[in-house]
Amino acid sequence: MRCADARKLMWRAQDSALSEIDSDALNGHLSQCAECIAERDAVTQTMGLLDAWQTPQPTRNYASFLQRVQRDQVRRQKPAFRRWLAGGLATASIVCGIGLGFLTAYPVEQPVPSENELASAIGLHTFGDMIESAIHYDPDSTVGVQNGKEIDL
Amino acid sequence: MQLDNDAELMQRVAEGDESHFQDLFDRHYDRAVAIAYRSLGDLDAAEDIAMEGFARIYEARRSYAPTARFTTFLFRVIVNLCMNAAKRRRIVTFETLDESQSAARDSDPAATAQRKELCDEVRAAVLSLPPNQRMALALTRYEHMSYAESAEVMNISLKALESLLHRAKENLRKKLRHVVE
Ligand SMILES: [Zn+2]
Repeated sequence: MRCADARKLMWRAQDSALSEIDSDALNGHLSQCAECIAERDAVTQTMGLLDAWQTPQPTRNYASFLQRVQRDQVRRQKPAFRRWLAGGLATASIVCGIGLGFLTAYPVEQPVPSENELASAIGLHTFGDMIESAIHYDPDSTVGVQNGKEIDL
Repeated sequence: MQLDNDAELMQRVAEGDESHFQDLFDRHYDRAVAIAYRSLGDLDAAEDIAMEGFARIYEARRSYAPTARFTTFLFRVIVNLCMNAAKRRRIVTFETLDESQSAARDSDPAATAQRKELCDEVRAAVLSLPPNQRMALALTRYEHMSYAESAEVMNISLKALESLLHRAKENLRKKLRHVVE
C-alpha cells in the first residue's frame, strides 16, 4: 500500500467506516511506516478537536411549533379572498378573449402543455414532491433568505 | 416495507390522529436543530430551519407514504433547507461561545478562556468549509450517522459522500494544523 492510500483510509478509520480488509491493510502499512504513524496521530488529534465545539441546547418546543403552524395558516388564509377575486377577473378576461377570438378568428397553433405544467395546474402534490419542494427555500421564512437553487455538489 | 416506530406514528398522523406529531417532534427536534446548527453556526437560524422542516412535513402529512424512514424524510428536508440558507447567507455569524456552555462550568477563568479559544478555532474551521463538506461532516462526525444513511439524507451517492468527507477532513487538517502541532 502506498502512503497516499493509507492516508485516505486513516480518515475513514476515524469514523469506524473501514472494512476488515482495508483495516488490515492500513494496519499492515502502519506497522512499517513511521511517517504514516505520525500522520495517523495528527489525524486522530484533529478529529478529536472537533468535539470542542458543542451544540447549545435548543430553546423552542412543540408549543412554539404549533404557534408557527397557526401563524402560517392565518397568513395563507388572508390572500384567499384576493385569489378568488383574481380568479374571477381572470375567468372574465378569458371569456372576453375567447369571444374576441371568435370574432377575429384565424387558425393559430397552440403549444401543448408539459406534464409538469399539467401536474401543477391540477395541484398534484405527493409527499415526495414536498421533500423536493424543500430544495426551494421559502422567502417568507424567518431566516431571511430568498428563493433558491438546487444543491450544488 | 417494515415500518419503524416513527413511520407508524407518522402514518397515524396522516390518517388524522395529529396528536402523534408531537411525539415525532419531541423525539427528533433537538437532532434537527443540531444538524442545522453545525451547518449555519447560529442557534436561532438553526431553530428556524428545524421548525420549517417540521412544518413542511406537517403540511404534507395527508400524502405521507412510508417509502423511507421518517428521519430520512425529515433530515433530507433539513439538509436541503440548510444548504440553501448557507449559500445565501454567505457569511456565517460567528457567535461567541454560548454563555450556557462557558458559565459556571468551573471557576478557573484561564481554563475557561482556553476552552473558549479552542471552541472558536474549531467552529471557525468547520464553518469555513464549503456547505456540502460541512454537511457531510455534521451528519457523520457529529450526528454519528453511517455513510450510507448520510448519503441517502444528502441525496448523493456513497462515493460522492466519501469524496466530500475526504476533502472536508483534509481541509480541517490544514486549518487546524497550528492547533495540533
Ligand atoms: Zn506510509
